Amino acid sequence: MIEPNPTERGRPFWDGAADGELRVQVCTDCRQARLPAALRCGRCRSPHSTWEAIEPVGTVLAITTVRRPGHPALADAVPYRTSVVSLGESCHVPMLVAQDAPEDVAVGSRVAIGFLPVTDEQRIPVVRGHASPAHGDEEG
Amino acid sequence: MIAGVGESAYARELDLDDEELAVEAGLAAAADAGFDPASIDGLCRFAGLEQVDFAAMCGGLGMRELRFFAEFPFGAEAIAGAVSAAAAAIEAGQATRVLVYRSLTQGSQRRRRRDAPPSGPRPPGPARAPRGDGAAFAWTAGQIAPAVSFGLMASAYAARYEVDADDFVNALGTVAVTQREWAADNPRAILRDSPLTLEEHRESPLLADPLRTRDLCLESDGAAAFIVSARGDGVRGVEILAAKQYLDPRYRPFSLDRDDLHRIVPPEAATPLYSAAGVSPSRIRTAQMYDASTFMVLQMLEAYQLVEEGRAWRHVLETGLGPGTPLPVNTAGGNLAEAYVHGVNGFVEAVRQVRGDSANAVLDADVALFGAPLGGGVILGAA
Repeated sequence: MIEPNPTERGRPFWDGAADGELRVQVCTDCRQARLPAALRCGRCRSPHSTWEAIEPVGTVLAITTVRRPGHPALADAVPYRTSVVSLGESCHVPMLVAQDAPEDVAVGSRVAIGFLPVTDEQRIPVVRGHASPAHGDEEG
Repeated sequence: MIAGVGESAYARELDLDDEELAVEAGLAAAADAGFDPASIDGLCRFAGLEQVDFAAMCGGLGMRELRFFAEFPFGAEAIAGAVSAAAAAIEAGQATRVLVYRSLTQGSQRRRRRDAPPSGPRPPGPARAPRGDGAAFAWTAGQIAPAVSFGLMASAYAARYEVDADDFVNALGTVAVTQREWAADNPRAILRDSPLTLEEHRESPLLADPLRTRDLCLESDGAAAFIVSARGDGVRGVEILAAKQYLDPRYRPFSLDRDDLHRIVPPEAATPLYSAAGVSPSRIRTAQMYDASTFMVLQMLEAYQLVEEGRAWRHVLETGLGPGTPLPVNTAGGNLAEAYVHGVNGFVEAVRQVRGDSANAVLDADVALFGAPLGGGVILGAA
C-alpha cells in the first residue's frame, strides 16, 4: 500500500478521505467541480473555490488488472485491479478496486466508492462495487 | 530539410556510456549528410530526459561554435518540436546545421539495478508517493508503471469500440509480430534474429490487462541523431513538408485526467499537420509511429487519420501493417524490435524510407509520416 503525499492545494481531498468523505474542489463562481485540485476553474477561470463532499458514486472509465508490482510496496498486492473513475465532467480519479468487488465491474459500470485505510490516520478511495439502483440512473 | 541521419550500435547492453553513444550517433549523422561534424552549429535535445549536455556534444563533434540550442519536453513528442524549431532557427539565420540527438542506456541501467547489492528489507508500513496531487492519486491507486497507464487506456478503447477480447489480443499481437518481421531484415535491429508468433505473444505474461510483456518496447542501449539544415545543403536530404509540435496537458504521457481515455493523441492534433504539409492522409506511403506499446500503434493509426476511428484493430487484423500492405508501419522494427531510442530511431527510418535506402524500402515511399503520442508529428517528402 502507498500513502498519498499531496500539496497543500490538494490536501482537502485526502483529509476528506481520512474522514470517509468524498470531497471535490468546486468553483465558487460557476459551480464546476474538479479533481485533481487546480489553481483556477477550467471552465470560467475563477480563482475562487471551496471543497464539498459529494455522494460517493462514479462511473468507471478504464479498468485493468495489474500483474506485476511497479513498486516494492505493491509486491504483496498483485494481482490487483485499478481503475479511473469519473465523478463528473472534470473529475477523473485513479482508484484501486477493492479485492472483494464483483468480477463484473467494467468500463461503464456505475460504482460505489469506499475508503480503505493505509495508515492509522489516512484512508484512500477505492471502488467497492456496483452502485445501488438508487444511484444507478443519476447520469441518465 | 533533413540532411542526414545516424545511429550508434543498438544492443540490450553496450560498453559505452550515454555520451559516447550520442557522439557516435552524431558523427554518423554528419557522415551520412557528407558534412564535416565541426560545421554543426546547433543542437536540440529532449528536455529533462537527455543526459548528454551540449558541452559534451560540442567537444565530441569538434564543433567550432554553438549558435542555437533548445530542449523539448517529453519523449517522442520532442521530435516534432525540435524539427520545427531547428528549421525556424535556420530560416532566421541563427544557425545552419542543427543536430537533434537522443541517447539511452536503459538496458545496462536495468542490469545494474538487478546486480546491485540488496539494500536490506524495506521498512515496514506503507510507502509514500512522491509529492504532488497527480501522484497522490496515481500512486495510491497502484498506477506507477507505464504499462498500467497503457493497459487502462487499452481497456477504455476495447470497451468504447466493443472489441471482442480475442480479436483485441490478436490485433495487439499482430502489431508485435509484424514489427519482428520488419526487424528480421534490419541488420541494426536488436531482435532481428528473434521471430515472434501470435501464440508466443498470447502466451507471454500479462502485465496489465490486456497488455502482455510482448506488447511493450525494448529496454536497450543506443543513440540516434539527425541533422536539420537549409534546403539544398547536402546531397541526400529529404523535405520537411510539415513539423508540428502539439502539447495538450490532458494528454501528457501517462496522464489519465480526461474523459476520452481510449485516445492517446488529442483528436485535433493531426488536421493542422496535414494542412501545413498540403497532403491528405491518403498520400502517406509509410508511417513510423512511436510504439512504447502495441496499443499506441493502433490508436495512432486512427489519430493520424490513416484508419477510420475505432477500426484500427480491424485494419490490423484484416489488412495488416507488414511488407506488401497498403500502409507499412514501423518498417525498421520500431521501439518494440529495433531498439528503444524514444522514437528517434523511427524518425531516422522515416527519412531512410523517403530516400529509398531503408533496409525494408517501401516502393515509391515519397511521403512518410512520423507520429508521436501527444500529437507532435512530422511529414517528410522526397526532395
